Order: sequence, then structure tokens, then C-alpha cells
Amino acid sequence: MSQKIVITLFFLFATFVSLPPALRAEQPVTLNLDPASISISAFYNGTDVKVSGEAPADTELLIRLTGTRHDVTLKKKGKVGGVLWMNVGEVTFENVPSVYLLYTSKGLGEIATSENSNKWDSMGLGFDALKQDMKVLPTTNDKEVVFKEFMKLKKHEDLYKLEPDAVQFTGPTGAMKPYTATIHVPPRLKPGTYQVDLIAVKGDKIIEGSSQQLKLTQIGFPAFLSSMAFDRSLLYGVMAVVIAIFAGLGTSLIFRSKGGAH
Amino acid sequence: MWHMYLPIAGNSVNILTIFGLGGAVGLLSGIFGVGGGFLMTPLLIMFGIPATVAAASDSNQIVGASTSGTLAHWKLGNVDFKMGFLLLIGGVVGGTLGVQVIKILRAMGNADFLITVTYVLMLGGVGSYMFIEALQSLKKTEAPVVSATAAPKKESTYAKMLKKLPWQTKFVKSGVEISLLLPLILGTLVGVLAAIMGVGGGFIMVPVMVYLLRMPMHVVVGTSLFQILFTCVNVTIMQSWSNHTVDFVLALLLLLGSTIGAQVGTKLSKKLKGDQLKILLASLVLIVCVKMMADLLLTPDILLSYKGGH
Repeated sequence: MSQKIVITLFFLFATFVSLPPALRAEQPVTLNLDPASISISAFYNGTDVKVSGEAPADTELLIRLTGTRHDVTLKKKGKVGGVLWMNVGEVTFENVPSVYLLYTSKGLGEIATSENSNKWDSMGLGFDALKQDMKVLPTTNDKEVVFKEFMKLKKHEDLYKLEPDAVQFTGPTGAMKPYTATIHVPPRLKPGTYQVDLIAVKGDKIIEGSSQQLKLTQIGFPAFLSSMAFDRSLLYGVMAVVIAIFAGLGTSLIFRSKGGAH
Repeated sequence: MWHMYLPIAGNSVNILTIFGLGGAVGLLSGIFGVGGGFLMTPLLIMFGIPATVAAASDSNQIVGASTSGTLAHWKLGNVDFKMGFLLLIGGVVGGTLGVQVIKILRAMGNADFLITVTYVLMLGGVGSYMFIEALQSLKKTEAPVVSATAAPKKESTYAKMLKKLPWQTKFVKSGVEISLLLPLILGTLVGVLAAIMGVGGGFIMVPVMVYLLRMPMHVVVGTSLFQILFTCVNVTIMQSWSNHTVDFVLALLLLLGSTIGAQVGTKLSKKLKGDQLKILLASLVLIVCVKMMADLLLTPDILLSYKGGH
């Protein structure tokens, strides 16, 4: 038990606290994001972020994209009168990240997806770690059952995902080996700051980590419209209505001139 | 390049899909005088739009489609403005009342169950009645239907009661002479129901106009659209103002399709007889009813969902 706590603490330390570069000098894993900031413009449809760097030759890698943690309240469906499926109440999941994308190298992916993924779980990685961290309210809910449904919902949205064998090792291997991976940022990811962690695993131990921030910002037309909608909401509503009415009028005129020949 | 980002919904959509969706639902508006929210909102949710944004942006879109449809029907002489205004006033009062009724129902508990079951039963009842009635009348009159009101109806208790109400007025476009109170009261009732069910009400309003106000089907379609226009203007502004849930990019993409759809729908509507229209609408109502029943009976894929929407 105490070993687990130590591992968890180390894991938290390695991933959530950005170490100053000087401290990492002995085993310098590197992590680069290209691009490190994403602009959401009018025709944005999600994008790819190239991840690259170097890690010790004898390690397997996990790259993880997470969003800020918050509480989510969802409607729960259940059977009423034994026949009808309806909303029967609410479930709150405390302390869950808005997004949780996992990309692993081949070796680690095999562990993560194998029937016997104890090693993966004991390192506090993957979705199981989330389940341990989160609190489900009210506690009358069967945590296993509702967590399974929660995962289904998030996976359906492409916001929680595990891609084994997505981190590729390239080039010559000395003491360090270069790696690359591609993060598919789903269009549903809201503007904000996200954390990308690189976790190097040796055997069943996390030996090193590094973190970078990924920023998503709305620019141009989407940014203009968002600020209108939130800062001048009444004007925005009136304009939306006026433009819609003119669109209706315009279409009517086009159709009248076309139909005029009859 | 075929995708566009929706800043309020926080997701991107395929331009052509949304344009097509707008066109199809606009077509239904033009033909039947319904807003089509019952169809649009669930489809938008399926494309990854949050429920609250889907419903609010849809009402923004309906403003355009119903402007287009109302104008097209008005040119054909199918809009009874006087009747429309009275129903509208009733609708606003009813909507306000309905919101209070929901609060009381929710406080009593089990509200969702009551609402859903009532809704399904109502759709089933109205759809079946309309279908059978229109089918019989279509069989009886082999000759083209002149007008629903021109054929002298049996004096029912309902008709006798109506004559006793004060302020009898002539509604020229609809060809009926009834009390001013009737559209006000019925408008209020539909408003209450629509607010409780969380739907626009076109579905309930059309049968009410046909069977309780005895208006001819074509005038019903035009007048219903006229009324929906005002309801949706109100909803769009309110939703933008207090909830920030109107995505204008989404509404605009839908609009491009639906304003055209509404014009084409009106042309189709003109070619169909009143009873044929009724049968088609009744079928649509019954399909929605069956779909809702299936949702209630079949095990859902995911037992959790986001709040908001219906």
C-alpha cells in the first residue's frame, strides 16, 4: 500500500510539477510540441500536433494530453416501472479532466491493452487511475457501473482515448533514442490551456517525466462572434434575428422573380 | 475546407451536411407549418452539438425559414393575421404559465415520467385521429375538396357551445365566425403544453387549428408559420441574452438550406389537397410517436447524458 502511495506521489511529482531544466540534467528527456499553440479560425476542424524529443534508450513512453479537472453533473437513465427508460436522476463525477488522450509506444501499449493490465494500473496510468481519483456522488451509485458509462460517453466524444503503438522510435539508438508521435486534437476541445506530459517507463516503474503546455485560442471570426455572444448578448440576439429575417426575405424575393414567369 | 467551426457550440460541422439538414427541415415547415424542432434538435445533438445550443440555434434558424414560408403562403392568401395574432397572445401567456407549471411538477417529483408519457399518448392520439379522419373524408369526397368550412358540418355540442361565447367575430381568411375568446384560450392551452413538453408547439397547434378552430388546412399551415416566426424571434433573443446558447454560424448554415426548403415546401403544399396534407402530417406525427416509444422501451447505448435540451 505504502509503495503505491510512493509511486503515486512520484507520478504526481513527475507529471504535474514542471521540473526546472537544471534538475533534469542527468537523464534529460525532451518534449517538443509543434505547434505549441493552436489558433481556432473559421474553418478549423481539429488539428494534429507533432510531438517529438528524446528519451533514454531502455524506456517505453506514454504521452498524455489532459485538461483542467472539474466536476461534471450528468443525467442518469434508468428503468421506470420496469419497462420505460427515462432520466431518473443525476450523477456528479468529481475531479475529472475535460480531456484525457493517451498515446503509448508499442511495448507499453501491449501492457495497457492486455487482459492482465495490473502493471499498467499499479503505475497509476490510464483510465483506471482516473477511476481511483474521482469521486462519484451520490455514493449510492455503483461506481464501477457509472464509471463505465462515463467512459462510453467521453470516448464517444473523442475526448478520452487510448492509442497504443502511437509513439514511434526513430533514428539511431545510443544512450538516448528519438521519438515522434501525433496528437489528434479533436475539434470539440474548447479554447484553453492543456497539459501534455511525457512519461518514461522502465519495467513497471515511472522513471522520468516532462511537461509542456498546449494552448488553444479562438481568433478571427469565431473570436469576434464569441465575444459578441457573451459581452453584448442582447445586441447579438437581435442581430441574429434580423439577419435571419433578411435571409428569409431575400430567399422569398429570389423565388418570386423566378416564379414570375408562370 | 468543407468544415466550419461553431464558436458557441465549440465543435466543427460539415457545411454540406448542415445545409442539407436545413433544407429538409425547411421543406417540412413549408408543407406542414411546423417548425421542425422535433427533428432538428436530436439530429444536431447527433452531430456533436450540445443540446442547449442545438435547441437555441434551431429557433434562430426557424426565424429565417418561417419568414420565408410565411411570405410564400401570404402570397397564396393562406395567412389569417387576425387569428394568428390572437393565438400568439394566448401562446405568450400560456408559455409563461407553462414554465410555472413545470416548476410545480418538478417539485412534486416524477415530472419527467408524467411529461414523457403524456407527450407520447398525445402524439399517438392526435396522429391517429387526424389520419383516420382525413382518410375517411378523402374517400367520401372523390371530387376536389372545396373548403373544409364550405361543407356544412353537423351541429355538435361543441359547435353549439362555441356559439354561446361572447364577442363573435368573422375571420375572413379562415372563413369562420367564432368568439375572439376561442383562439385566445386555445393559444394559451397550446402555449402551456408546449412549454411543459419543451417543444415549439407547431405539432399541437396545427391539429388544434384544424379541429377546434375549424380552419381550412392550407390557411392553417400559413397562419401557423406566421405565429412560429414570432415565437422563435422571442426565444432566440431570450436564449442569446440570458443563456448565450445561440450559435449564429450554425443558424446561418441551417438558414441557407431552410429558407429555400420552405419556399419549395410551400409550392408542394399548394399542389396537395387539404386531406392529403393532413394524412402526411399525421404520418409524421405517428412516426415521431413510434420513435419516442422506441427510445423509452429500448436500452440506451449510454446511460448518461448531458443536461439541457428536452
